[in-house]
Amino acid sequence: MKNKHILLVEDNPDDVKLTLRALKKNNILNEVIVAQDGVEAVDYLFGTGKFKDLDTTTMPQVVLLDLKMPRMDGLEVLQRIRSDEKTKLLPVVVLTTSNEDKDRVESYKLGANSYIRKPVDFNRFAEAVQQLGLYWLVLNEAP
Amino acid sequence: MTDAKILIVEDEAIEAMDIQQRLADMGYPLPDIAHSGEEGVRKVEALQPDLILMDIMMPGKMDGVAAAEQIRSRFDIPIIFLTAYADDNTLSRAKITAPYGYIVKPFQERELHITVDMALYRHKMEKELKESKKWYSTTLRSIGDAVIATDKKGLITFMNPVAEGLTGWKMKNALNKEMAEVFNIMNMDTRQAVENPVLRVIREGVTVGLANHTILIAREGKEIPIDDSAAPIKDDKGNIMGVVLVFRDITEREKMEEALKQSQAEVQTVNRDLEVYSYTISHELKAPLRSIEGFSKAILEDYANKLDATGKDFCKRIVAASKRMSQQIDSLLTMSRLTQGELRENTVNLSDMAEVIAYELKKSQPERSAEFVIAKKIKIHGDFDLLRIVMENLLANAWKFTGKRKAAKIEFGQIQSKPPLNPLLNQGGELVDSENSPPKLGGVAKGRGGETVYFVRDNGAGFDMKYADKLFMPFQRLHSENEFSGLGVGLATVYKIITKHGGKIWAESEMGKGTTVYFTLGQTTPAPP
Ligand SMILES: Nc1ncnc2c1ncn2[C@@H]1O[C@H](COP(=O)(O)OP(=O)(O)OP(=O)(O)O)[C@@H](O)[C@H]1O
Ligand SMILES: [Mg+2]
Repeated sequence: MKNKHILLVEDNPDDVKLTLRALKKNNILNEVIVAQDGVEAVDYLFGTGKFKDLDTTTMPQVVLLDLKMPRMDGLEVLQRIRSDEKTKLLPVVVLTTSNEDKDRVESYKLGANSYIRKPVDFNRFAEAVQQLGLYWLVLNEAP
Repeated sequence: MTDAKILIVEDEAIEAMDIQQRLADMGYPLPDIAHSGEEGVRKVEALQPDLILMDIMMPGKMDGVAAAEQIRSRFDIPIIFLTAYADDNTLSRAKITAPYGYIVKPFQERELHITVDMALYRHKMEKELKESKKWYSTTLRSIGDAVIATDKKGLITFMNPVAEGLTGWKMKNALNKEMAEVFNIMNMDTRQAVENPVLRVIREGVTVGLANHTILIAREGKEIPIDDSAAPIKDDKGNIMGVVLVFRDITEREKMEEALKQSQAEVQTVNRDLEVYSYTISHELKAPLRSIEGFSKAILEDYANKLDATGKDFCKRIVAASKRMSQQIDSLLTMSRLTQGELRENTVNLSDMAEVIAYELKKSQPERSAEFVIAKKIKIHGDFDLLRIVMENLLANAWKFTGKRKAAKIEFGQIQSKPPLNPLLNQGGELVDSENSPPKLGGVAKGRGGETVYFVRDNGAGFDMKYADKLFMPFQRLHSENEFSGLGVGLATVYKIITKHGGKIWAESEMGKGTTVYFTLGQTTPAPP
């Protein structure tokens, strides 16, 4: 496992592709781990289930979290992240699909750091990165 | 009762005059005298006295008892018999006429005085009692609720016709029956007998309301849901003399409550469904759109060198179309959400609101020179956020459709409409009869009687009034996208908001000259300045 990687939690393969492309366009070379739903994301972060042999000492630098997913949805993942000492301070960017205020309010309540409206494109991502002060992610981190 | 008219029926003239004198001395008006039974009856008819002193033994066809019988059968006048001596037979005949007393001759003045006074008093009381009884029973008979009264043992003494109808018992059959026999009740849910409220009232001396869900089982077994209460009837000293039970059939009410509950539940389900539906649409429908837009953009960006101008144009069209569709979905959702939820009413200053919006519009296109004329201090009661959407859309339309005018002028103001008005508008707020009375721009607005009508007027492109009925329908536009861009949901949204406020909206327009959109806000009266 690499240092300074990104966890993308997204069930829609098209969205995964578009997001990965947007990251690449932003010159982000960090490794991106993709979890296909909430359960996988939680397993990854806490070294449970499918990832029970994983060394979880190095947390991702940022989690890009889709809200509507099968099994466990994004809000629940967010709740789990915020209620565990180890992951409490992890920056989480919620990916929303619409202007649904409900989703935004809910995710801010649960402690999301920011949100990006899908599709994740260059501008939107750049804005979120700026807001989160994650400049280091961009560019120079060699693989 | 010193002004009581008294009639003395006495065959012996001296005796009669003696009594007459004595009564006059006691302070009564000089009594009249009849000398025989027949004359007595005649005089009663003519004089309508308040009291009759009647000698029992009189010669002639009609003795005192016979005269008393006749009088009693036709008049409600107390009679006192005067008698020196009478045989048993006469006395028992006399008794039947229910006299108010006997005075045995010869009598003391004091005895006469007391007997006359007592008779007058008793008669007065009885008359009052009779009247109030009649008054009460008429009242009880004519009220819509069922009423049953009992004595202090709980035995039935009275039922009104409604009570007869509900219980299936006639009063004459129910009299003196135990309450429980006639008024047989149980709990609707448990179907257990419920304690009769009358017994509880007798025991506890307080008014008792019936528990909810009570069913009356009528005589023939019919079950009727009822609502009732029972109260004690107390005498002056607070002793219970009886109980009055009042109840009513609540079948209709139950039905209505049931129907209401059901429709409320249905509305809730529909709302929840809509909510879920909206959410699903926004997520499911928009995901493929996102892919279409995203990958088309990716092609444009990543494969630009492999595409010729036409190929790029096609991709751009795909991007634009999917963007538009995604906006349409969003506005549909917003619009459907508007109708849900309650209005949050407050005093809203529409003038200030218009100023702010005008400022923002001007800022959005600083190169345009447009004049805004906004009437001052227009304040109304309504939902601030929703009315903001109304004003934004109306002013944005005016702004947009004056886009090609050199000297654009946009007005916001109010008119007091005067009744009578030409009801040109149907329920939907569309103009339905513009033929008979051609609408004049700037004329008196066609709202309802005496209402304030607000308007937004522009001197822009206008539209063809032929299509005015399409104005407020979602995605309906009267101009092409090339001419003026837009989704066509603005006025549909406005229409919903105005309707929700109980108001109406309509428009008048002339091609190439301009448009005025009018609206009212229903019951909301203008707030004091
Ligand atoms: N002030 C106006 N002058 C001329 N035509 C108007 C005016 N207001 C509305 N219309 C006509 O009514 C149509 C519907 O208006 P509406 O506000 O619903 O849609 P829009 O402005 O085209 O799009 P949107 O408001 O959704 O961006 C407009 O497309 C236009 O043809
Ligand atoms: Mg509009």
